Amino acid sequence: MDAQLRRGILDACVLAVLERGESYGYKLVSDISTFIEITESTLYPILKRLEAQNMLTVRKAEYNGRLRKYYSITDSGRARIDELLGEWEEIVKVYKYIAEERGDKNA
Amino acid sequence: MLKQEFLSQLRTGLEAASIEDIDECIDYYDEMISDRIESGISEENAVAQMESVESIISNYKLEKPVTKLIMDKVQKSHEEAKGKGKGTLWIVLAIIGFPIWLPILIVIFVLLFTLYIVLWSIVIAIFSVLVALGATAICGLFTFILMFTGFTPWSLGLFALGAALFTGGLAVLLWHPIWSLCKAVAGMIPSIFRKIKKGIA
Repeated sequence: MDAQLRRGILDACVLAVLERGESYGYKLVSDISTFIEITESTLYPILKRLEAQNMLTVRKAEYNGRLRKYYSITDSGRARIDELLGEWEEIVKVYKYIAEERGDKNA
Repeated sequence: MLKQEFLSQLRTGLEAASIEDIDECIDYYDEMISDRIESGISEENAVAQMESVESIISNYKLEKPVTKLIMDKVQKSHEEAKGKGKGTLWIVLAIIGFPIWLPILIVIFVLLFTLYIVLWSIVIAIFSVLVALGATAICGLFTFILMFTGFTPWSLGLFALGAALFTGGLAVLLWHPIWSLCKAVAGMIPSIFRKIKKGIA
């Protein structure tokens, strides 16, 4: 998959999981891994970027005697999901057009 | 490999790659490994499930814009050059950028030289006023003395005396302010160039 496209999809995945509720790093990797391949090293820069873009907020809380970071989606993050879904509809239209064109030529 | 050993290796790798938020990154992987251990995986296995340090750094760099990566690389090279007195990247950039930086450097040098000349010209011009007044007074007195020898007419001699007294008086009157002004302007020149040098550096 194209790196740029994959990055956009992973952004949307992280935000979509967070829309369900607050989460932390390991759980995010576990949840997202069920439908797209993601590793800790892929997630880390995504979280940093989304935080910098104010699409999520981070809070630290004590858990089993250590600190754990919890991530929550912001309104900008929710708006980004809507935006990505809108873009995706356009991609699907283009995909269908390309597939039909190809089908016509092969027929 | 145990968690602390992995995190230590990661820190070394991140430092070598000049990544800024090392502590934050270490905390993230510390949390990830700890969460795995708490989910029932052994420490060795939890660490083994992590990607290699090289892969982590590579993924981190992929997220950064190319311009930021280049800036980091140049910054690192600059720091190395300062510390060790060498910098291959700087030498390469200096050679590649030769057609651009040389004309700019010449223009800057010419401008600074012009500014230096202009500032000293102001000092000389101000001082010249004093010298001219003094010289006029001396010449006037000389002309007045010549009047007694018959070389110059009485009218011219008296006019010269008047002019000598006027310019001489003016020279005495203006000596202190002009001398102070010259000293002040001359004193400003090194500080102006020190500021310019500091700004360039």
